[in-house]
Amino acid sequence: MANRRQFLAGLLATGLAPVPTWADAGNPAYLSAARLPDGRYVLIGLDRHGAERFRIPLPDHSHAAAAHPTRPVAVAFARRPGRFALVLDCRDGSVLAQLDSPKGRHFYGHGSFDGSGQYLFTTENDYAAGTGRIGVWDVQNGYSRVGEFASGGIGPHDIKLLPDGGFVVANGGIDTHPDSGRLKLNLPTMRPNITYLCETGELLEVVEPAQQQASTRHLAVRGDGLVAVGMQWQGDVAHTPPLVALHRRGAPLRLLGDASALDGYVGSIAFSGDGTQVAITSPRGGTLEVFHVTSGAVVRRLAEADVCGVAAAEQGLIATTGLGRVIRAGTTAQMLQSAPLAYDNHLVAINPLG
Amino acid sequence: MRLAILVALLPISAFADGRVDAALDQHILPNLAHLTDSTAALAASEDCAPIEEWAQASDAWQAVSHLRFGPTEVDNRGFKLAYWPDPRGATPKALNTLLGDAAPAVADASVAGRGFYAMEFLLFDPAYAASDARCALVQALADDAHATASATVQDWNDRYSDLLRDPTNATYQSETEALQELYKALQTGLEFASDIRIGRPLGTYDSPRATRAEMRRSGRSLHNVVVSLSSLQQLAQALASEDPELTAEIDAAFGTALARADEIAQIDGGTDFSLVDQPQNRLKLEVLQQSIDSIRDLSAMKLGPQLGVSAGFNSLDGD
Repeated sequence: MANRRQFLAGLLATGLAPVPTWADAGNPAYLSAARLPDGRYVLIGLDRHGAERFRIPLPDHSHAAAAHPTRPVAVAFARRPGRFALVLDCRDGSVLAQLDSPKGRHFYGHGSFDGSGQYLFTTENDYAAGTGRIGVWDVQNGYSRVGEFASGGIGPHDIKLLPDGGFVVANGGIDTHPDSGRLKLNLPTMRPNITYLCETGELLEVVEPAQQQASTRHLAVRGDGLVAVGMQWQGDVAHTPPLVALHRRGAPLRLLGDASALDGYVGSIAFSGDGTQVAITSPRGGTLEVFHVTSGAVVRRLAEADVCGVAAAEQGLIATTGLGRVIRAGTTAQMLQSAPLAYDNHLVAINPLG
Repeated sequence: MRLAILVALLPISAFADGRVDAALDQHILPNLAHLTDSTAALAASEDCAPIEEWAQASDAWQAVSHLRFGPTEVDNRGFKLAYWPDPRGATPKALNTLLGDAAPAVADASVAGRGFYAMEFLLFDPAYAASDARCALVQALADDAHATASATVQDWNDRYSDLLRDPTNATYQSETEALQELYKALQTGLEFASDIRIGRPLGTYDSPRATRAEMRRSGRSLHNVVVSLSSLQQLAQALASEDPELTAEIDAAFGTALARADEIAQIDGGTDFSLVDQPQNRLKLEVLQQSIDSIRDLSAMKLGPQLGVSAGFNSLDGD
C-alpha cells in the first residue's frame, strides 16, 4: 500500500497536485513595488479597491513587471540596466527562481508571460551590438533560458501579450551601454518604433512615430488587440509633440492629446475596464489624463502629485502615486487608500486580458 | 491672515527669485559668452593644429556642459558640440567618412564626427597624421563648432534666459519649476562627473578601463573634471545664495573635491587617468569620485528641499 509520501510523489508525477492560484495569495487584482519609509523595498498585492492583500520583501530597488496569469507568481526586475530578475512566490515571498541575463545582455525591466503561463518573455539589450532582443524562459523548467529573438529595434522597453498570442514591443530607440549606465548614446539618430511579433518571434509589423525623438516606452493592449503606447520626449520640452498614441495593425498611429501638461514624460498607460477610455500618467507633470478612445478627446485631466502607476479597474481606472495614494480616476481623483510608502512606476494588473 | 491671502494672490513674477537671477548672471550667461568667444577664436585660427584655441574652447564647453536643457537640446546642438562618451566608436568612423572621397559637408555629417571630441581625435590621435585633408577638416569642424555655439548662446540670450527669469510661461510655470531645472542641471553635472568622466575609466578593480578616459589623448581627463566642478560650484553658490551657512558647506565640499583632484594631478598617470591601472593610485581617483558623490548628497539633502524640489519617487527616477 502506498504511503503518503509515495502518494504525493505519484500525484506530482501525474500533475494532479493542487496548483496554487492567485486566491492563495489573497486574490489581489494588482501588483506594485513600493519603497518603505526606512528605504526597504517590497512587492505589494492590491485588491480591486486598492486594499493591501499581501506584502513581500524585494531586494534593492526593483520593479514589479509581470504577473503569472494563473499562479501567484510575480517577476521583479532589478533597476535598469539590470542583470537579474526574481521570480517570487506571492504567498510567502520565497524566491522560486533567479533569472540572470546571459553574457552580453541586460534586462530593460519589463516582461510578459504568454497566455497559458508556460513561457516568460523579457526585453533585453545585446549591448555589444546595440540591438534589442526578447529572451524566452521556460516556466516549467525552473525558468531556464530556452531562446531569444530580435525585438525589431533598439532599446526594447515594454512588451505586452496580444489576444492572438503574439506580442507587441515598444522599441524606445535609445541605445545605452551598461558601461555608461543610463546615458543615452544615440539621441540624434534614434529611431523608436512599436513592433508586432508572432509568438515564435517572427516580425509582423513595425510602426514608427513621425517624431524621431518620441521614445516609445510603455504599452497597453485592449481585448480586441487595439494597442496604446505612451512615449517620452527626448528633445527640448518646449517642443514636445503628443506622447500618446493608439494603434491597430495595418493602420497608421493615431496621436492623442497635446502633451502640454506632461513635462515631456509619460510614465504608464492603461485602458479603462470597459475599454472605452485610455489613461496616461506623468509623474513629472503631476498629471493623469484620460482620453476617449473613439473620439480621441481628452475626457479629464487630474492633478495628482507623483502619480505613475495606472491600470484598468472594473469601473474606469485606478492609479498609484509616489506618495502612497491609491486613487480611482473618476470625474475627480477619488482616494481609495493611503499608506506611508511610495508606489513605484507601474501598477501591474493580474490577468489584464482575462 | 489677511496679509497671507494678499501675498498668495500676487502674481508669482512679483517675487522674481534672486537665485535664478544669480544663476543666470553669475554663471550661465558669462560662461556662455566665453563659449562664443573661444569658439570664435578657434574658428579664426589659421593654424592647422590650433591646439591652444581648441583647448580653450573645450574648457568653455565643459563649463556649460551640464546645461542640457532648452537651447542645447534644440536641433541636437549639444551633441554637435560634444559627442562623448562613445562606447561604440562612432567618432573615428564618422571622421574617416569626413576624410574620405565621398565626404559630406560637415553640417550634414554625423554628429559623432563633429565638435570638440572629434577635433581631439584629429589633433592628438596618431592615426590622423598631419595632412592637407586633416587641416581642412580641423578648420571646417572649428567653423561648425562656432556656428553651433553661437546659435545656442543666441537662443539663450534672445529667448531662454527670459523664460527662466520670468517663469510664467508654458516652459516654466513657477519660480519653483525654474529652480528645479537649475537644480537638476547641478545634480546631472555632478552625476556625469562621477559616473561617466571618472566612473568609465575606473571600471572595476579587476578590469580598469584606462582607454575609456575622457580626452585621454590630449591628457585632459582630470582637467575636464576640475573645470566642470569649478563651474558647478558657481551654480551651487547661486542656488544657495539665500543661505550663507549652506553656501559655506557647499564651498567646503567642492574645496575637498578640488583638493583631491590637485593631489591626483601630481601623480604619474593622473592627468589622463591611466593611473586606474595602478592598484595603489586608483584609490585616489575613487576618493575623488566619492567626494563628488558627497557634494551630490549634500545638495540632495539640503539644497533640494530649500528650492522646493519635491523628492518625487517617480518623477525623479524615470523608467
